[in-house]
Amino acid sequence: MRRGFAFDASLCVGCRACSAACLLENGLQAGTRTILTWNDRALPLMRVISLSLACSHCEEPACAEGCPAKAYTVEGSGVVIHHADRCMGCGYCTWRCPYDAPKINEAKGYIEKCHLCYERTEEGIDPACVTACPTGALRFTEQEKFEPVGIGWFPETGIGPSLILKEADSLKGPVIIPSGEADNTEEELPQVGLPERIRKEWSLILFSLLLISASAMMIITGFTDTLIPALIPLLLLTAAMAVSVAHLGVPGKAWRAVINITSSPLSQEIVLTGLLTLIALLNWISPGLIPPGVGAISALLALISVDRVFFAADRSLTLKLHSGQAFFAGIYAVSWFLEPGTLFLVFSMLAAISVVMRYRTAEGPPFVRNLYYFRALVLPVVFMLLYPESPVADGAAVVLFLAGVVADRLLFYCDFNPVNIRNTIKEHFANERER
Amino acid sequence: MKEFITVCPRNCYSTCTFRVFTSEGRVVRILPCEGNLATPEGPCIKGLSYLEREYSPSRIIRPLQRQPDGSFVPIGMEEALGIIAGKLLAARERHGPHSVLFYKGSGYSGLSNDIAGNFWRLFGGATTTYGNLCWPAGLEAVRLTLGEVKHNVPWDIAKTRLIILWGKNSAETNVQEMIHIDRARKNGARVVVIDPRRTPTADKADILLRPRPGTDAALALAMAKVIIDRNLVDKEFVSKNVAGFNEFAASLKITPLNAQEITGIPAEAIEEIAVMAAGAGQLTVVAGYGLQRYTNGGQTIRAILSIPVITGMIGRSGCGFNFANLQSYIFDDVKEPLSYYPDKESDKPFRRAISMARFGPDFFALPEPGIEVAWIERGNPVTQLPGSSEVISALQSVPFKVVVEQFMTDTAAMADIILPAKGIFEQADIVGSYWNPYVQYKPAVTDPPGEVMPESEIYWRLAQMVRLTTGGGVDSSVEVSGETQDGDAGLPLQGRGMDHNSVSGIPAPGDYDAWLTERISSTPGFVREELMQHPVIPEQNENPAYADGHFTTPSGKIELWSDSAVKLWGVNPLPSYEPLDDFSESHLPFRLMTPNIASRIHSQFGNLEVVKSVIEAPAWEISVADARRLQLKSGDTVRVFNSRGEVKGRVKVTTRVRSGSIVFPNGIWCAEGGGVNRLIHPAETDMGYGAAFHNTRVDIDKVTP
Repeated sequence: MRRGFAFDASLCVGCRACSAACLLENGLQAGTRTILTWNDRALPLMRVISLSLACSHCEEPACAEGCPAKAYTVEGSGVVIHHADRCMGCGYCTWRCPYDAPKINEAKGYIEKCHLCYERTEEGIDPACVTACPTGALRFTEQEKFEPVGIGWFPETGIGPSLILKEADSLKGPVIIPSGEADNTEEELPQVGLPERIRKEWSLILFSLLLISASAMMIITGFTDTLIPALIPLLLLTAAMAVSVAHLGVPGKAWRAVINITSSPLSQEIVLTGLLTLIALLNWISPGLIPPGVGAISALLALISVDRVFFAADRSLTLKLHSGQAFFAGIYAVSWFLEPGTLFLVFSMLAAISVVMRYRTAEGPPFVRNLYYFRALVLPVVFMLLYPESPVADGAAVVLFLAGVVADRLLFYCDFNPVNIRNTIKEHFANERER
Repeated sequence: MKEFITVCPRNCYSTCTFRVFTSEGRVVRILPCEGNLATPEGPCIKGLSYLEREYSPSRIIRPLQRQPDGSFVPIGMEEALGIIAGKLLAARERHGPHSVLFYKGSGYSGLSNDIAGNFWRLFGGATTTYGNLCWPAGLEAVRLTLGEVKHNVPWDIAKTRLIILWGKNSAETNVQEMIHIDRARKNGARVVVIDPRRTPTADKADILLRPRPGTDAALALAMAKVIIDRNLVDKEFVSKNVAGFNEFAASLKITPLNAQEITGIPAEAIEEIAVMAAGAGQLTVVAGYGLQRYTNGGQTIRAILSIPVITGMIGRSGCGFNFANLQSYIFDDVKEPLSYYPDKESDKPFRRAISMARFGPDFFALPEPGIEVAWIERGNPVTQLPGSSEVISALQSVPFKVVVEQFMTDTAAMADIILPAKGIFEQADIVGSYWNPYVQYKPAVTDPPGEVMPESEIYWRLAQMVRLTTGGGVDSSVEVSGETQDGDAGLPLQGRGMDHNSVSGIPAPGDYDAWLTERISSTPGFVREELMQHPVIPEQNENPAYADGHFTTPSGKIELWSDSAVKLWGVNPLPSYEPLDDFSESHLPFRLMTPNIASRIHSQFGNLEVVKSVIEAPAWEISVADARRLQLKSGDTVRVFNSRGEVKGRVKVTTRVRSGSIVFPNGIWCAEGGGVNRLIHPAETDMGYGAAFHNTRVDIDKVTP
């Protein structure tokens, strides 16, 4: 029998007793069990639904599969347990989980997640959130198999959440009289400053830019006669490794990153990056020991492994065809240095197509919009600058070209949108509102 | 782990039963108790937080004495009580017992509270307050109309066909009622919420009517008029049970169109709801307490109550008018609201000269003697009483103040000596409910921490020190006019050759359980042993309420016409709509509402870490339209002001609030950025000696934080 939660939305009033109980019982941070609200601004003519959500203890838990440090185990009855002592705080599971279950504890550096009060349920007592619920909206349940939830705004990614949602889509909002209040809809505040993803994950962006640069250099070295001092990619890669360790919540456990090489794309990325760094080191210590082709191929593989980390969390076409991918960015950069320029022309065309296809990005917050326009403008401008064949224009062209690649990489992060229930609720709500 | 069944003793409808588990002298787990059919699921967030509250590092567990620099230092209990006894004796000797103010709030319910009254009676009396901050206007309205204040068991609502939640926000203030409402809905019942706000309760409703605050009586009377004009009255029920129906029918002048003008609710909607109510077959009207905290509050409740009365919805299952159910208050000789009345003779033994609602003005208008010593327990008057500024000045003018508290509240911070109050797990007690029908036994499950002693023991020790005698009355040596021995007042009891037995009505520490048992045994209605094991519905509980057709009004009938209403309160003998008193501030654009919220019982619980970490910080809520007009956005700092003062805070723009209203939860400490009662006019409701909290008007403007 699999264990999980059953939730009756018609009974939940959003009182947060469940969140408090979780906090009191487990000492996990507030928000480990949280209330997601459909129509949290209580727009008139629309229903309000509160959804109490912790972990759905999925049949094929994406968190555990993706965890590079093997910090997750699946117990009997399908309970997914996160072990803080094995967690290095990379946060990859927060990308992989569509249900917003694992959350980084900023103070402690590692992830925390509902363990379905595993020890308590072994005693025969229901989880703390369940016994706390004053209306009985939340229940503990055991099922042979949990059916798909089957509600539009509840993301279905095939990983089999152990959750039963009742009455979540049957609720209607009240008819509000006088309806004159109906036009009382607060405008959403414009988002200012850097997008959250860039602000929070600048170190990952830096890591990938360093890795892309080093890889591009090693590919150029492998396939052309251009001479790049071996020390440069080595320094870039060393810096990349340092940045990636530093971004961890628990850097001391960074060594755990390679444990789950069989199923975690992140482990694979780290292993390949490490291998590339080793090659760069050997190239520097003992040039010629490693054939340049091997270095180039390793670099290509490393770039691919970076993209796989993201694709595993966001399977959208936007990302698959994104010119800000590490692999694309790397070989696009390489193509600049190849003669003849046919390859560069082809890649520029592809980048242009990708940028045009992503026109909706221009509807984003100001920073993202400006970045997008910049990236779009750079493509033709670089060609125009190449035309005069002056060294100054060429210099400007190379700077602009590289800036364009960096901008695209930033846009890749902005467009990276792993399936998450918070977003699906927002999107579906926006659709319902339009109707 | 040891398991106990216990009950939450807070001033709350639900009065939840729950199971606690102790380990190593500490409560470590709280689980639901299915034995209470009204509250079969978990307690609310506050009930859960006892796991923190009772063991919080900020709990006061030793007496604290104020130092000249304003700080507090711990002192021993004997020393603290010695100082207090000295002050009490000196005040009584020089100015008489009425120079002592005994102020009690509603922070803890239980029979043990009677001991406080016994002490002060033996002391020779004291000055106390009359009235109540919460609900007396409505209680009085129900009493005038139906005689007794009671209603069906809470789970009976599942059988109804139409529920009108009139100004009641069950989801936040009586969350377990939502279980029974949800059952009714799943059985096909419709739910109408009438509230200026879109509350979480309204989110579960079929229809939400949003009248202007304080106009509910006009809405109700227009509905009654529709029901009567369309001949939808239950004539048989009315002719048998109702007094004054014809006068009532003739008095109805407010048409749906008039009501539209007054309430802002379209006339068609009023007619539709009225017809729906009359045709429901089974109708339960649940009235909240907020809508009677107005100068027209009692008349409003009478008006609303007229709807179930004329449609014959009283005395049947699945029907009724739910305001309060006092059937479990079987230990009280005088029940609310009568117990709130000031004494007819104001000098013996208690001088009930201060209205709770008008504490500040009444305090300063006291005749001699003035107040020399204030004793405050179970309450936080600085935060909770209307007109905080005068309340603060009043307390500042008292030379010596004792506050019995668990935490450093706004009031405790003004004390000269803070005595640590017991926690809910630390003394046995009996707790009734004003919503569910159960009488409940609350066992002592752990020892008090530090130097905490139950108030019963504090009073017993004080009784020894101020030499109250066993036989009741006062030891001759400390008669009001007599000589006192101030010098040895602080000495331990053993050195004084006084007996160790209980003073009348004040049990010695070892006798407390026997005292409680005696109270239980001498009250008929249940088996004592049974009560010690689980919640008990006393035999005399009537369900459905009023099923016997017996109404204890002067006429023996349901009184739509009430001579008592005229005699006692000078109001219209019939339910009527009275426009609100704006206290000469009609020009201010906002009506201030200070409702209760889910995370607190008035000023309790908001200080706990677990509550703070899962609940959004309180903010001044205004409507989108008003925010647009004033160019305010969520997060802006505003100054909210009227002639009484100003409060600053963060604004939250929300569709949940009606234009023209501004909402801030009640009970937020000044120290937490609250203190909203500074703006509230100290005024009474039209009946029952309640507080007209929601009449207040304010203006706001944007300021820099």
